[in-house]
Amino acid sequence: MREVRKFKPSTVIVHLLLIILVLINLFPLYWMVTFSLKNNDEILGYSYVDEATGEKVLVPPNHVGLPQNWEWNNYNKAMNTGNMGQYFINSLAVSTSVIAITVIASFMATYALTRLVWKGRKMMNKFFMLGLTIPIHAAIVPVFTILSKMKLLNTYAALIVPYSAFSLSMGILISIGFMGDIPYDLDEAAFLDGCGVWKIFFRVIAPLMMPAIATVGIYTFLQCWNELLFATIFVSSGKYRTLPVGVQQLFGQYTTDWGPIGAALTIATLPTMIVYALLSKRIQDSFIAGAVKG
Amino acid sequence: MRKHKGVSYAKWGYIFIIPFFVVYILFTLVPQLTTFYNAFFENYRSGLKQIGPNYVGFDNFIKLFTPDKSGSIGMIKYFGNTVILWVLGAVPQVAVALLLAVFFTSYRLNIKGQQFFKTVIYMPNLIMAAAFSMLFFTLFSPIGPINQIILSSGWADKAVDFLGMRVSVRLLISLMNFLMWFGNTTILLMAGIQGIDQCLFEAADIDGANSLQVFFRVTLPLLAPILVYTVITAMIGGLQMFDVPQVLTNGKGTPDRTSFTMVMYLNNYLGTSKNYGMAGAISVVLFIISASLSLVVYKTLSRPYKN
Repeated sequence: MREVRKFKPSTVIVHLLLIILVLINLFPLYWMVTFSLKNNDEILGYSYVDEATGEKVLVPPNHVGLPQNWEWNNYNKAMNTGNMGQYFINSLAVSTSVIAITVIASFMATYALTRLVWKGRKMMNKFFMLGLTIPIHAAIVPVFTILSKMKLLNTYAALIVPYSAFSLSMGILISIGFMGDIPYDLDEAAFLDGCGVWKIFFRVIAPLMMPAIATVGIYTFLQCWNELLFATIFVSSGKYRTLPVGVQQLFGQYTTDWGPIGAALTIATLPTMIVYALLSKRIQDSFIAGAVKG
Repeated sequence: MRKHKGVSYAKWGYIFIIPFFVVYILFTLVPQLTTFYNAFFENYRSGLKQIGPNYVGFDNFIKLFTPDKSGSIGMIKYFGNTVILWVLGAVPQVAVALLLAVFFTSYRLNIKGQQFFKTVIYMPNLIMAAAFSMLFFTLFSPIGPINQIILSSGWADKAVDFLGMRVSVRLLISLMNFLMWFGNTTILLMAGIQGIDQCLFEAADIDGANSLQVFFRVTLPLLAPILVYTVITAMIGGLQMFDVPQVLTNGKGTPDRTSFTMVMYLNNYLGTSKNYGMAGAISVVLFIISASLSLVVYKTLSRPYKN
């Protein structure tokens, strides 16, 4: 092995480049959190007349620094007048339902596709994989018509059902990988001990699929938490509106008051950031598994 | 083999699959097919009156490709916008990702804190695109921090209207797409490089190849299938570009619809004018383009397995 010097110039340059990239990535977030806690005077700058000299003094905006007075009231405003509280609850309700449905559905479907023998399962597998390549936007008009015929527009179901349907293919793709790692011997042992198919699935397979729950769950969560187009078109009433649409409507709502915009953006992005901070490695892996969007 | 009493795997197979099959068919497959059907009908709301659905043949498609008063064809223009926005973001995305993937996997560079760097560069991918573009809207607004820096450093004597100029709006959208996706591509390409047989790198090293030679003669050729896959999936994603320009320009594609994408066009027909026939026609065009791209992915991916 070649001897490695402590400071190779190339290593230093690469590290510098990486640090610059990291700063570019982090500054917008830093600015978001800090300006959510500032008042308008700090964000936009202001002027006052100095009583001693009678001169007008300009105070420049404080963009880069930390807030001088921490304006927690911005969060109150965003939650109440901006309705972010309601949208947050809606987003949470939709996301958790979709995660639950997708996890259970894709596990059961995967079990049927990989472990049970029945006519047409190869065909069915191809069918589900077809769903991966189809862009959801190409199907939006008929989904809209079906939802309106079923009187589901402007309900939670208007988002839960299509989101689940479109997450299913990816859920199955990820689950197939995980289920393939479970040895068939376990199924056979359970069968010899007298378990039926139902019992084998719930007592043997499902508990061993716990790591897959995280991967499928995270993937699904990120997809539906951030989705904008379906949420704009299928839900028009404020009662069921989700966060991305709420964020879009911040436009013009507070042209005079910046703090609450920052607070609203922080509320919308915080949950994903927390999930990411806890599970960053697993998230990266799940996106390698599901590297279709891009 | 003895026949098991009462256990029919076929029956259970159907029981397990049917509920999801129904949901999937109803909300994914049927819509795909009926999109084509819908596109041949006029079906819209004019004031309070509902027109159609009446069969009109290819009229919706003809209308889609007919020049308007100013002589530009909406569909072509917005397709062009989408392509420009995508290319501006995707070229640096793939180039930077390739560079970073090579850096991260290089034992010569031996980068410290890899996991930290990977975590941070991946992060923007998870931020809600709507929130991210709203954030950039505030960052680059005439009274935002970027203009503050420009003004106080004396580069310009009045605030730059980043959100009113064609070039800057397009660059901003591409910058956001770049920031949101380069981390993802990096991690994918890293997985690809790590999948290459390490003996090849060692052999190249023993033969005295330098880093550039290793990159162009070993890494790049072996990475080609994954690279093609990455680029084409990125194309399919780019074709559906919506959230970022929609929120940054408040759905208008300012200035003068030069940052208006195809899905924004679709959204306009569907959301504002409730014209399902025209929206269907746009969907069909989108579908055809992405289906052909998917076919290329499938072909490139299945090729190596044949031999």
